[in-house]
Amino acid sequence: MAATKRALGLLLLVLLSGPAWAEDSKSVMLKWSQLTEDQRKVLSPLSKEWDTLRPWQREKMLDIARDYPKMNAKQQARVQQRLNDWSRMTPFERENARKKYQQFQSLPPEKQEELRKKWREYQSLPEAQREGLRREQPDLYDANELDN
Amino acid sequence: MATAQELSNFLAEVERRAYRQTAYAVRDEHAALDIVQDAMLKLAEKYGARPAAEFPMLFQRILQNTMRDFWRRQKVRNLWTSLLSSFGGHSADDDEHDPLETLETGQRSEDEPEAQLERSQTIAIIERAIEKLPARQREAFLMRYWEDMDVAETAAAMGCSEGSVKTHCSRAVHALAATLQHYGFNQQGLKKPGAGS
Amino acid sequence: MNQQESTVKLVVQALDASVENLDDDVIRRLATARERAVSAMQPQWQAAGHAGVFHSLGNYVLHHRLMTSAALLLGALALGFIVTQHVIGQHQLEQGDAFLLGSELPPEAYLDKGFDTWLQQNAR
Repeated sequence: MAATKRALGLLLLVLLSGPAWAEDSKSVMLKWSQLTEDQRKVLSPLSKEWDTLRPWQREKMLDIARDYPKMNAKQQARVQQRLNDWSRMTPFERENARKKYQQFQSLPPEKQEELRKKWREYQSLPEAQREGLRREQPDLYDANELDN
Repeated sequence: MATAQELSNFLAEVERRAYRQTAYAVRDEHAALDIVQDAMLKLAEKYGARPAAEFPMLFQRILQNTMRDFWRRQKVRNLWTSLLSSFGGHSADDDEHDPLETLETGQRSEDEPEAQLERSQTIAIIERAIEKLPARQREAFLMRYWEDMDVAETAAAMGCSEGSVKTHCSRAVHALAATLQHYGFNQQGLKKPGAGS
Repeated sequence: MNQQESTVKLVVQALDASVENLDDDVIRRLATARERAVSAMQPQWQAAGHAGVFHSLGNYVLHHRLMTSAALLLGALALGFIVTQHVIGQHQLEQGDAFLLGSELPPEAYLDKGFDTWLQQNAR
Protein backbone atom coordinates (compact mmCIF):
# COMPACT_ATOMS: atom_id res chain seq x y z
CA MET A 1 0.00 0.00 0.00
CA ALA A 2 2.74 2.39 0.98
CA ALA A 3 4.64 1.38 -2.12
CA THR A 4 1.68 2.19 -4.34
CA LYS A 5 1.39 5.55 -2.68
CA ARG A 6 5.03 6.24 -3.26
CA ALA A 7 4.80 5.11 -6.85
CA LEU A 8 1.94 7.52 -7.35
CA GLY A 9 3.98 10.23 -5.73
CA LEU A 10 6.84 9.61 -8.09
CA LEU A 11 4.53 9.64 -11.06
CA LEU A 12 3.19 12.96 -9.91
CA LEU A 13 6.70 14.25 -9.52
CA VAL A 14 7.53 13.20 -13.05
CA LEU A 15 4.33 14.71 -14.34
CA LEU A 16 5.02 18.02 -12.73
CA SER A 17 8.65 18.29 -13.62
CA GLY A 18 8.11 17.01 -17.12
CA PRO A 19 7.67 20.40 -18.72
CA ALA A 20 10.85 21.70 -17.14
CA TRP A 21 12.93 18.90 -18.55
CA ALA A 22 11.24 19.17 -21.87
CA GLU A 23 12.03 22.84 -21.82
CA ASP A 24 15.70 22.10 -21.26
CA SER A 25 15.66 19.85 -24.23
CA LYS A 26 14.12 22.63 -26.26
CA SER A 27 16.26 25.71 -25.95
CA VAL A 28 15.46 27.88 -23.03
CA MET A 29 18.05 26.64 -20.60
CA LEU A 30 20.73 26.26 -23.24
CA LYS A 31 24.19 27.04 -22.02
CA TRP A 32 26.41 29.31 -24.06
CA SER A 33 28.41 26.35 -25.25
CA GLN A 34 25.25 24.70 -26.54
CA LEU A 35 24.20 27.52 -28.86
CA THR A 36 24.66 27.18 -32.59
CA GLU A 37 27.53 28.98 -34.23
CA ASP A 38 25.16 31.51 -35.78
CA GLN A 39 23.48 32.24 -32.49
CA ARG A 40 26.82 32.70 -30.80
CA LYS A 41 27.96 35.07 -33.51
CA VAL A 42 24.94 37.33 -33.08
CA LEU A 43 24.93 37.15 -29.31
CA SER A 44 28.72 37.33 -28.89
CA PRO A 45 28.54 40.51 -26.77
CA LEU A 46 26.72 38.37 -24.20
CA SER A 47 29.14 35.44 -24.17
CA LYS A 48 30.37 36.18 -20.65
CA GLU A 49 27.02 36.68 -18.99
CA TRP A 50 24.86 34.30 -20.99
CA ASP A 51 24.84 31.55 -18.39
CA THR A 52 23.57 33.95 -15.75
CA LEU A 53 20.52 35.05 -17.72
CA ARG A 54 17.07 33.99 -16.62
CA PRO A 55 15.29 31.41 -18.83
CA TRP A 56 12.87 33.88 -20.34
CA GLN A 57 15.65 36.35 -20.92
CA ARG A 58 17.53 33.72 -22.88
CA GLU A 59 14.39 33.04 -24.82
CA LYS A 60 14.12 36.72 -25.77
CA MET A 61 17.78 36.85 -26.73
CA LEU A 62 17.41 33.79 -28.92
CA ASP A 63 14.51 35.55 -30.61
CA ILE A 64 16.88 38.39 -31.38
CA ALA A 65 19.29 35.96 -32.97
CA ARG A 66 16.39 34.53 -34.97
CA ASP A 67 15.30 37.91 -36.33
CA TYR A 68 18.83 39.16 -36.90
CA PRO A 69 19.23 37.84 -40.45
CA LYS A 70 16.10 39.74 -41.49
CA MET A 71 17.76 43.07 -40.78
CA ASN A 72 20.05 45.27 -42.83
CA ALA A 73 23.71 45.80 -42.00
CA LYS A 74 23.12 49.09 -40.21
CA GLN A 75 20.46 47.64 -37.97
CA GLN A 76 22.61 44.60 -37.27
CA ALA A 77 25.49 46.80 -36.20
CA ARG A 78 23.20 48.65 -33.79
CA VAL A 79 21.94 45.40 -32.33
CA GLN A 80 25.50 44.27 -31.68
CA GLN A 81 26.40 47.55 -30.09
CA ARG A 82 23.36 47.65 -27.80
CA LEU A 83 22.99 44.03 -26.74
CA ASN A 84 25.08 44.36 -23.64
CA ASP A 85 23.27 47.32 -22.17
CA TRP A 86 20.01 45.72 -23.12
CA SER A 87 20.72 42.53 -21.21
CA ARG A 88 21.65 44.54 -18.13
CA MET A 89 18.45 46.54 -17.96
CA THR A 90 15.80 45.44 -15.52
CA PRO A 91 12.84 43.51 -16.92
CA PHE A 92 10.72 46.57 -16.24
CA GLU A 93 12.99 48.87 -18.15
CA ARG A 94 12.96 46.51 -21.07
CA GLU A 95 9.18 46.25 -21.03
CA ASN A 96 8.94 49.98 -20.75
CA ALA A 97 11.18 50.41 -23.76
CA ARG A 98 9.20 47.83 -25.74
CA LYS A 99 5.97 49.61 -25.05
CA LYS A 100 7.32 52.96 -25.99
CA TYR A 101 8.96 51.56 -29.08
CA GLN A 102 5.53 50.36 -30.19
CA GLN A 103 4.08 53.80 -29.53
CA PHE A 104 6.94 55.32 -31.44
CA GLN A 105 6.22 53.11 -34.41
CA SER A 106 2.59 54.15 -34.42
CA LEU A 107 3.62 57.75 -34.98
CA PRO A 108 3.54 59.22 -38.48
CA PRO A 109 7.00 59.30 -40.13
CA GLU A 110 7.48 63.04 -39.72
CA LYS A 111 6.83 62.82 -35.98
CA GLN A 112 9.27 59.94 -35.75
CA GLU A 113 11.86 62.05 -37.48
CA GLU A 114 11.12 64.94 -35.15
CA LEU A 115 11.73 62.72 -32.15
CA ARG A 116 14.98 61.40 -33.58
CA LYS A 117 16.12 64.96 -34.15
CA LYS A 118 15.19 65.91 -30.60
CA TRP A 119 17.14 62.93 -29.31
CA ARG A 120 20.23 64.03 -31.25
CA GLU A 121 19.86 67.53 -29.85
CA TYR A 122 19.46 66.15 -26.37
CA GLN A 123 22.54 63.98 -26.84
CA SER A 124 24.57 67.00 -27.79
CA LEU A 125 23.82 68.77 -24.52
CA PRO A 126 26.52 68.72 -21.84
CA GLU A 127 26.04 65.82 -19.43
CA ALA A 128 25.53 68.24 -16.51
CA GLN A 129 22.59 69.80 -18.27
CA ARG A 130 21.08 66.42 -19.06
CA GLU A 131 21.49 65.42 -15.44
CA GLY A 132 19.69 68.60 -14.46
CA LEU A 133 16.83 67.76 -16.79
CA ARG A 134 16.59 64.29 -15.32
CA ARG A 135 16.19 65.75 -11.87
CA GLU A 136 13.53 68.19 -12.94
CA GLN A 137 10.94 65.54 -13.47
CA PRO A 138 8.25 65.50 -10.84
CA ASP A 139 7.78 62.33 -8.87
CA LEU A 140 4.52 60.78 -9.79
CA TYR A 141 4.43 58.53 -6.80
CA ASP A 142 5.49 60.33 -3.70
CA ALA A 143 7.21 58.50 -0.90
CA ASN A 144 4.22 58.89 1.43
CA GLU A 145 2.14 56.65 -0.68
CA LEU A 146 4.63 53.84 -0.18
CA ASP A 147 5.61 54.10 3.40
CA ASN A 148 2.58 55.14 5.37
CA MET B 1 5.70 20.94 3.82
CA ALA B 2 3.85 21.74 0.62
CA THR B 3 3.93 19.48 -2.40
CA ALA B 4 4.47 20.65 -5.95
CA GLN B 5 0.84 19.90 -6.63
CA GLU B 6 -0.25 22.13 -3.77
CA LEU B 7 1.92 24.93 -5.08
CA SER B 8 0.55 24.48 -8.56
CA ASN B 9 -3.04 24.50 -7.30
CA PHE B 10 -2.43 27.55 -5.20
CA LEU B 11 -0.90 29.52 -8.05
CA ALA B 12 -3.62 28.48 -10.47
CA GLU B 13 -6.17 29.70 -7.97
CA VAL B 14 -4.63 33.12 -7.38
CA GLU B 15 -2.66 33.98 -10.52
CA ARG B 16 -5.36 35.90 -12.38
CA ARG B 17 -6.36 37.97 -9.41
CA ALA B 18 -2.71 38.57 -8.61
CA TYR B 19 -2.19 39.82 -12.12
CA ARG B 20 -5.14 42.23 -11.97
CA GLN B 21 -4.11 43.37 -8.52
CA THR B 22 -0.60 44.10 -9.76
CA ALA B 23 -1.89 45.85 -12.85
CA TYR B 24 -4.02 48.13 -10.67
CA ALA B 25 -0.94 49.01 -8.70
CA VAL B 26 1.66 49.47 -11.43
CA ARG B 27 -0.73 50.55 -14.19
CA ASP B 28 1.33 48.71 -16.74
CA GLU B 29 0.13 45.32 -17.89
CA HIS B 30 3.48 44.12 -19.20
CA ALA B 31 5.21 45.02 -15.98
CA ALA B 32 2.38 43.36 -14.06
CA LEU B 33 3.00 40.08 -15.85
CA ASP B 34 6.70 40.31 -15.14
CA ILE B 35 6.08 41.04 -11.49
CA VAL B 36 3.68 38.13 -11.06
CA GLN B 37 6.13 35.83 -12.85
CA ASP B 38 8.95 36.91 -10.60
CA ALA B 39 6.81 36.56 -7.48
CA MET B 40 5.74 33.04 -8.44
CA LEU B 41 9.31 32.02 -8.97
CA LYS B 42 10.44 33.50 -5.68
CA LEU B 43 7.66 31.74 -3.83
CA ALA B 44 8.64 28.41 -5.37
CA GLU B 45 12.37 28.84 -4.95
CA LYS B 46 12.50 30.30 -1.48
CA TYR B 47 9.35 29.19 0.25
CA GLY B 48 8.46 25.96 -1.53
CA ALA B 49 9.23 24.03 1.63
CA ARG B 50 6.73 25.99 3.74
CA PRO B 51 3.27 24.62 4.50
CA ALA B 52 0.75 25.36 1.79
CA ALA B 53 -1.45 27.17 4.29
CA GLU B 54 1.15 29.93 4.44
CA PHE B 55 1.21 30.47 0.69
CA PRO B 56 -1.45 33.20 0.52
CA MET B 57 0.34 35.39 3.03
CA LEU B 58 3.82 34.63 1.65
CA PHE B 59 2.80 35.16 -1.92
CA GLN B 60 1.18 38.50 -1.14
CA ARG B 61 4.25 39.61 0.74
CA ILE B 62 6.51 38.65 -2.15
CA LEU B 63 4.17 40.31 -4.60
CA GLN B 64 4.16 43.53 -2.59
CA ASN B 65 7.95 43.51 -2.34
CA THR B 66 8.38 42.86 -6.03
CA MET B 67 6.01 45.72 -6.75
CA ARG B 68 7.89 47.95 -4.39
CA ASP B 69 11.12 47.21 -6.25
CA PHE B 70 9.24 48.23 -9.34
CA TRP B 71 8.19 51.52 -7.73
CA ARG B 72 11.74 52.26 -6.69
CA ARG B 73 12.91 51.88 -10.23
CA GLN B 74 9.94 53.75 -11.64
CA LYS B 75 9.60 56.51 -9.03
CA VAL B 76 9.64 59.05 -11.72
CA ARG B 77 7.16 58.12 -14.32
CA ASN B 78 8.14 58.36 -17.90
CA LEU B 79 6.12 61.03 -19.62
CA TRP B 80 6.40 59.60 -23.08
CA THR B 81 2.84 58.43 -23.14
CA SER B 82 1.30 61.85 -22.78
CA LEU B 83 4.01 63.46 -24.85
CA LEU B 84 3.50 61.10 -27.71
CA SER B 85 -0.20 61.66 -27.66
CA SER B 86 0.40 65.40 -27.78
CA PHE B 87 2.60 64.61 -30.76
CA GLY B 88 -0.45 63.04 -32.33
CA GLY B 89 0.37 59.36 -31.98
CA HIS B 90 -2.26 56.76 -31.37
CA SER B 91 -1.30 54.03 -29.07
CA ALA B 92 -3.22 50.96 -28.11
CA ASP B 93 -2.25 51.13 -24.48
CA ASP B 94 -2.24 54.82 -23.85
CA ASP B 95 -2.93 55.35 -20.16
CA GLU B 96 -5.19 58.25 -20.82
CA HIS B 97 -7.57 56.46 -23.12
CA ASP B 98 -11.12 55.78 -22.21
CA PRO B 99 -11.18 52.81 -19.86
CA LEU B 100 -14.45 51.66 -21.35
CA GLU B 101 -12.93 50.85 -24.69
CA THR B 102 -10.80 47.99 -23.49
CA LEU B 103 -13.58 46.44 -21.55
CA GLU B 104 -16.05 46.63 -24.34
CA THR B 105 -13.77 45.07 -26.89
CA GLY B 106 -13.09 42.32 -24.41
CA GLN B 107 -16.74 41.35 -24.41
CA ARG B 108 -18.79 39.62 -27.01
CA SER B 109 -21.84 41.55 -28.04
CA GLU B 110 -24.65 39.48 -26.72
CA ASP B 111 -28.38 39.66 -26.45
CA GLU B 112 -28.52 42.50 -23.94
CA PRO B 113 -26.29 45.21 -25.25
CA GLU B 114 -27.59 47.86 -22.90
CA ALA B 115 -27.28 45.89 -19.70
CA GLN B 116 -23.93 44.72 -20.96
CA LEU B 117 -22.73 48.25 -21.51
CA GLU B 118 -23.94 49.33 -18.13
CA ARG B 119 -22.17 46.42 -16.56
CA SER B 120 -18.89 47.07 -18.26
CA GLN B 121 -19.11 50.76 -17.40
CA THR B 122 -19.63 49.86 -13.78
CA ILE B 123 -16.64 47.56 -13.84
CA ALA B 124 -14.48 50.20 -15.49
CA ILE B 125 -15.43 52.86 -12.97
CA ILE B 126 -14.75 50.55 -10.06
CA GLU B 127 -11.41 49.47 -11.48
CA ARG B 128 -10.42 53.09 -11.93
CA ALA B 129 -11.46 53.81 -8.34
CA ILE B 130 -9.33 50.90 -7.13
CA GLU B 131 -6.35 52.22 -9.07
CA LYS B 132 -6.75 55.64 -7.54
CA LEU B 133 -6.60 54.42 -3.94
CA PRO B 134 -3.34 55.04 -2.09
CA ALA B 135 -1.13 51.97 -2.45
CA ARG B 136 -1.46 50.70 1.10
CA GLN B 137 -5.21 51.11 1.16
CA ARG B 138 -5.54 49.23 -2.09
CA GLU B 139 -3.31 46.41 -0.87
CA ALA B 140 -5.20 46.06 2.36
CA PHE B 141 -8.58 46.18 0.67
CA LEU B 142 -7.70 43.63 -1.99
CA MET B 143 -6.15 41.19 0.44
CA ARG B 144 -8.94 41.41 2.97
CA TYR B 145 -11.93 41.41 0.69
CA TRP B 146 -10.79 39.94 -2.59
CA GLU B 147 -8.27 37.41 -1.39
CA ASP B 148 -10.35 36.72 1.69
CA MET B 149 -7.34 36.89 3.97
CA ASP B 150 -7.96 37.64 7.62
CA VAL B 151 -6.65 40.72 9.39
CA ALA B 152 -3.68 38.88 10.90
CA GLU B 153 -2.60 37.39 7.58
CA THR B 154 -2.98 40.72 5.83
CA ALA B 155 -0.94 42.42 8.52
CA ALA B 156 1.79 39.79 8.17
CA ALA B 157 1.83 40.18 4.41
CA MET B 158 1.96 43.96 4.61
CA GLY B 159 4.44 44.07 7.45
CA CYS B 160 2.28 46.35 9.57
CA SER B 161 0.05 46.11 12.62
CA GLU B 162 -3.46 44.69 12.54
CA GLY B 163 -4.69 48.11 13.58
CA SER B 164 -3.17 49.68 10.46
CA VAL B 165 -4.79 47.04 8.29
CA LYS B 166 -8.18 47.95 9.73
CA THR B 167 -7.51 51.65 9.21
CA HIS B 168 -6.39 51.15 5.63
CA CYS B 169 -9.41 48.98 4.88
CA SER B 170 -11.89 51.35 6.38
CA ARG B 171 -10.43 54.33 4.52
CA ALA B 172 -10.45 52.35 1.30
CA VAL B 173 -14.09 51.39 1.74
CA HIS B 174 -15.05 54.99 2.46
CA ALA B 175 -13.21 56.27 -0.59
CA LEU B 176 -14.78 53.60 -2.78
CA ALA B 177 -18.25 54.27 -1.40
CA ALA B 178 -17.81 57.96 -2.13
CA THR B 179 -16.80 57.24 -5.70
CA LEU B 180 -19.74 54.92 -6.24
CA GLN B 181 -22.08 57.49 -4.82
CA HIS B 182 -20.57 60.12 -7.02
CA TYR B 183 -21.45 58.02 -10.03
CA GLY B 184 -24.92 57.42 -8.67
CA PHE B 185 -24.76 53.68 -8.18
CA ASN B 186 -27.69 52.26 -6.36
CA GLN B 187 -25.43 49.53 -4.99
CA GLN B 188 -27.80 46.78 -5.93
CA GLY B 189 -24.94 44.65 -7.06
CA LEU B 190 -23.65 43.93 -10.48
CA LYS B 191 -26.07 42.49 -12.98
CA LYS B 192 -24.88 39.35 -14.68
CA PRO B 193 -25.16 39.63 -18.43
CA GLY B 194 -28.17 37.66 -19.54
CA ALA B 195 -29.47 37.20 -16.01
CA GLY B 196 -32.82 38.90 -16.49
CA SER B 197 -33.45 42.62 -16.80
CA MET C 1 -26.84 45.28 4.69
CA ASN C 2 -25.20 48.57 5.51
CA GLN C 3 -23.59 50.84 2.99
CA GLN C 4 -20.06 49.63 3.68
CA GLU C 5 -20.94 46.03 3.17
CA SER C 6 -22.77 46.74 -0.04
CA THR C 7 -19.82 48.77 -1.31
CA VAL C 8 -17.46 45.92 -0.62
CA LYS C 9 -19.81 43.48 -2.27
CA LEU C 10 -20.22 45.55 -5.40
CA VAL C 11 -16.51 46.23 -5.73
CA VAL C 12 -15.62 42.58 -5.28
CA GLN C 13 -18.17 41.58 -7.91
CA ALA C 14 -16.65 44.06 -10.34
CA LEU C 15 -13.15 42.80 -9.61
CA ASP C 16 -14.25 39.21 -10.16
CA ALA C 17 -15.79 40.24 -13.45
CA SER C 18 -12.58 41.93 -14.54
CA VAL C 19 -10.75 38.64 -14.04
CA GLU C 20 -13.22 36.87 -16.29
CA ASN C 21 -12.34 39.26 -19.09
CA LEU C 22 -8.62 38.60 -19.19
CA ASP C 23 -6.86 38.22 -22.53
CA ASP C 24 -6.16 34.70 -23.68
CA ASP C 25 -2.55 35.71 -24.10
CA VAL C 26 -2.32 36.84 -20.48
CA ILE C 27 -3.97 33.65 -19.27
CA ARG C 28 -1.51 31.58 -21.25
CA ARG C 29 1.48 33.50 -20.01
CA LEU C 30 0.33 33.18 -16.42
CA ALA C 31 -0.01 29.42 -16.86
CA THR C 32 3.49 29.22 -18.34
CA ALA C 33 4.86 31.26 -15.45
CA ARG C 34 3.13 28.93 -13.01
CA GLU C 35 4.65 25.85 -14.64
CA ARG C 36 8.07 27.42 -14.47
CA ALA C 37 7.65 28.27 -10.84
CA VAL C 38 6.46 24.78 -9.98
CA SER C 39 9.41 23.22 -11.74
CA ALA C 40 11.73 25.61 -9.94
CA MET C 41 10.47 24.07 -6.72
CA GLN C 42 11.53 20.61 -7.80
CA PRO C 43 15.22 20.44 -6.82
CA GLN C 44 14.69 20.60 -3.04
CA TRP C 45 11.65 18.49 -3.23
CA GLN C 46 13.31 15.96 -5.44
CA ALA C 47 16.36 15.76 -3.22
CA ALA C 48 14.17 15.05 -0.22
CA GLY C 49 11.79 12.74 -2.02
CA HIS C 50 14.27 10.78 -4.06
CA ALA C 51 16.20 9.05 -1.32
CA GLY C 52 12.98 8.22 0.44
CA VAL C 53 11.38 6.60 -2.55
CA PHE C 54 14.16 4.38 -3.71
CA HIS C 55 15.98 3.45 -0.55
CA SER C 56 12.93 2.47 1.36
CA LEU C 57 11.47 0.70 -1.62
CA GLY C 58 14.61 -1.25 -2.19
CA ASN C 59 12.95 -2.78 -5.17
CA TYR C 60 14.88 -2.33 -8.31
CA VAL C 61 12.38 -4.14 -10.46
CA LEU C 62 9.69 -1.70 -9.53
CA HIS C 63 12.20 1.09 -9.87
CA HIS C 64 12.99 -0.03 -13.35
CA ARG C 65 9.39 -0.39 -14.36
CA LEU C 66 8.56 3.02 -12.95
CA MET C 67 11.41 4.60 -14.82
CA THR C 68 10.27 3.08 -18.10
CA SER C 69 6.74 4.39 -17.76
CA ALA C 70 8.10 7.68 -16.54
CA ALA C 71 10.29 7.92 -19.63
CA LEU C 72 7.34 7.19 -21.89
CA LEU C 73 5.24 9.78 -20.12
CA LEU C 74 8.04 12.26 -20.30
CA GLY C 75 8.41 11.71 -24.01
CA ALA C 76 4.74 12.42 -24.56
CA LEU C 77 4.89 15.50 -22.38
CA ALA C 78 7.98 16.78 -24.12
CA LEU C 79 6.31 16.42 -27.48
CA GLY C 80 3.21 18.24 -26.27
CA PHE C 81 5.28 20.97 -24.77
CA ILE C 82 7.40 21.51 -27.84
CA VAL C 83 4.30 21.73 -30.00
CA THR C 84 2.73 24.28 -27.65
CA GLN C 85 5.89 26.33 -27.48
CA HIS C 86 6.08 26.32 -31.22
CA VAL C 87 2.59 27.72 -31.51
CA ILE C 88 3.25 30.35 -28.86
CA GLY C 89 6.55 31.26 -30.48
CA GLN C 90 4.85 32.01 -33.75
CA HIS C 91 2.53 34.44 -32.05
CA GLN C 92 5.41 36.56 -30.90
CA LEU C 93 7.11 36.82 -34.27
CA GLU C 94 6.11 40.40 -34.96
CA GLN C 95 7.19 42.32 -31.91
CA GLY C 96 10.81 41.31 -31.65
CA ASP C 97 13.38 42.98 -29.47
CA ALA C 98 15.78 42.76 -32.41
CA PHE C 99 13.91 45.49 -34.24
CA LEU C 100 13.80 47.68 -31.19
CA LEU C 101 17.55 47.37 -30.78
CA GLY C 102 18.16 47.87 -34.48
CA SER C 103 16.10 51.04 -34.79
CA GLU C 104 17.77 54.41 -34.97
CA LEU C 105 16.45 55.58 -31.63
CA PRO C 106 18.27 53.58 -28.93
CA PRO C 107 16.44 51.93 -26.00
CA GLU C 108 17.85 54.55 -23.61
CA ALA C 109 15.89 57.20 -25.45
CA TYR C 110 12.71 55.61 -24.19
CA LEU C 111 13.90 55.47 -20.62
CA ASP C 112 15.86 58.66 -20.12
CA LYS C 113 13.83 60.93 -17.87
CA GLY C 114 15.92 63.91 -18.86
CA PHE C 115 14.88 63.37 -22.45
CA ASP C 116 11.24 63.46 -21.36
CA THR C 117 11.77 66.81 -19.73
CA TRP C 118 13.67 68.02 -22.75
CA LEU C 119 10.79 66.99 -25.02
CA GLN C 120 8.29 68.61 -22.76
CA GLN C 121 10.17 71.88 -22.69
CA ASN C 122 10.69 71.89 -26.42
CA ALA C 123 7.27 70.71 -27.48
CA ARG C 124 5.96 73.25 -29.92
